[in-house]
Amino acid sequence: MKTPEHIQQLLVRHIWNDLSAQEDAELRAWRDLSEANERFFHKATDRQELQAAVERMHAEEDRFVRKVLEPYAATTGGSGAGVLRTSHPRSWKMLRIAAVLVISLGSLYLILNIDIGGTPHTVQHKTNFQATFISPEGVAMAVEDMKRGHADGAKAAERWRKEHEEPFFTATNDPKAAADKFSTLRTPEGAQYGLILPDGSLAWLNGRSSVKYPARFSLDSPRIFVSGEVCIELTTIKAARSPFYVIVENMQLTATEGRFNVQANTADSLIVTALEGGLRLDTGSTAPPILLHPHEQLRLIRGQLHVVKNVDIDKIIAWKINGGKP
Amino acid sequence: MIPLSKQQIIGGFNRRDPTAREWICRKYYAYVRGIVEEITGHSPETMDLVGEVFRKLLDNPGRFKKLNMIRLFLFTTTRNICLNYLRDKKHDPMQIEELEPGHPLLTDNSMEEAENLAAIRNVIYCALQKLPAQTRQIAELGYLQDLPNAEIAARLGIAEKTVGNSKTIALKLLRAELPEIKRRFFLLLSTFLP
Repeated sequence: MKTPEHIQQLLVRHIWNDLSAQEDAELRAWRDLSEANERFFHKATDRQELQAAVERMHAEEDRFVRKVLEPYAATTGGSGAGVLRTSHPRSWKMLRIAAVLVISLGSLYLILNIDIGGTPHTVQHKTNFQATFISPEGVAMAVEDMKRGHADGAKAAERWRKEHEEPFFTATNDPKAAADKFSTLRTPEGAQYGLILPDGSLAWLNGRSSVKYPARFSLDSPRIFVSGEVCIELTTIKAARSPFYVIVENMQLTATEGRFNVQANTADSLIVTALEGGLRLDTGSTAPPILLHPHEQLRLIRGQLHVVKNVDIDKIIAWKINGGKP
Repeated sequence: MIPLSKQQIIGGFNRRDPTAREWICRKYYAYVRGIVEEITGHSPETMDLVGEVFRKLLDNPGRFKKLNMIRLFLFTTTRNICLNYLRDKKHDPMQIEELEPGHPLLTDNSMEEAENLAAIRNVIYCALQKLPAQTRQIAELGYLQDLPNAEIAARLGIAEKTVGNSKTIALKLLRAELPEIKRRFFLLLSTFLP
């Protein structure tokens, strides 16, 4: 039985009493075409059955979603290829204990070894997840308060609490916003936060950093302004792989895929590291653009440019703690 | 559900982001369940089968570039899991006999009918799920139980105008969900054509 999409829409709107006389006649003509059509019409528009189905599904949705996602909670946001299963609760418990030990020892190591490989990176102690959102109108709000403020009822509160545990702020795109309107996400000293951009790219902000992005976010040529230290992972969606522009001070970085770390803590210091995929840096002067390949780092310190090869990437992104995934 | 762009959903799903995963589960839960119920005749194992479909999806991050591909994957997986389930129902020999080649359940038409019905119900379900509790209740009483506005107002102890406004909101949300049917249709057409 073929049910054209137009007829299906008419069926839905028939249930909602939203058909014009002409549309009603159209639906009647379709029903008269065959017994199968007439049978399907009665089945699809049986309000009693529909109400029962809606109630049945509504009653079990939350429990079902929790149950189905539960085994995947441990692997959320990770960059590894495997998916851990919880079919062996004892092993899983041991794994959790081991993970806590590793994280604790790792944190202790970081605290005792502040100078990572001699690079000028700063390691944040006692990292917490805090950020301030500044709307295009210039209104500053704590992200946590925004999340709490939008909570509507117990279900929504639960959802926001869950999202709060995952320290990501989801940027929205307002297609009607003026071209000169920007939103900003800013982190205080010692905090970190993730910003999911409308094209699916992820910017992970270290403490005292900010990312400014257009309120009308262009998916064709995404553009953000960065200060402080930010690790950017571009979207993996092929269709969205337009050149992505990152503007730091008076320089412009261009990349189409991969990950890179930008550190611009002072006005005359910039360190850009290509983690995956290449990127191009235009210094804004008449000098030719500089191309960076993975494991290469560009340092601009007091006007002097240096390219360092074979950089240890793990050390570069050591500032990201477990929340900075992947 | 949290409003996310398609890129955010797909990118998040590929990154195993919990918000994106939950979004997808909630978006297609009623769709998958509707097909399973229709094909298996409301089997008591419906929820297990629906869970199996979503686990197959969640075990495959990174392979989907578009949201429609997720829907197609869900439909194909649901169909296969349901047919396997019916074939394996060894306690009912008639069922095995009936599912030999040529059985109506194995034809595209029956499968398509189940899918059509699930899609129609999913659109209505998703529109209702987006409504605040009271508006949702009013929409259900007004549209699904076909009660007049005055009776709904009396039953809930609210003004008749509130009932009218709530129904208007519900109607707008439903209209916003309708394009889902169109997008789905072209996708399915491509799977049934040789």
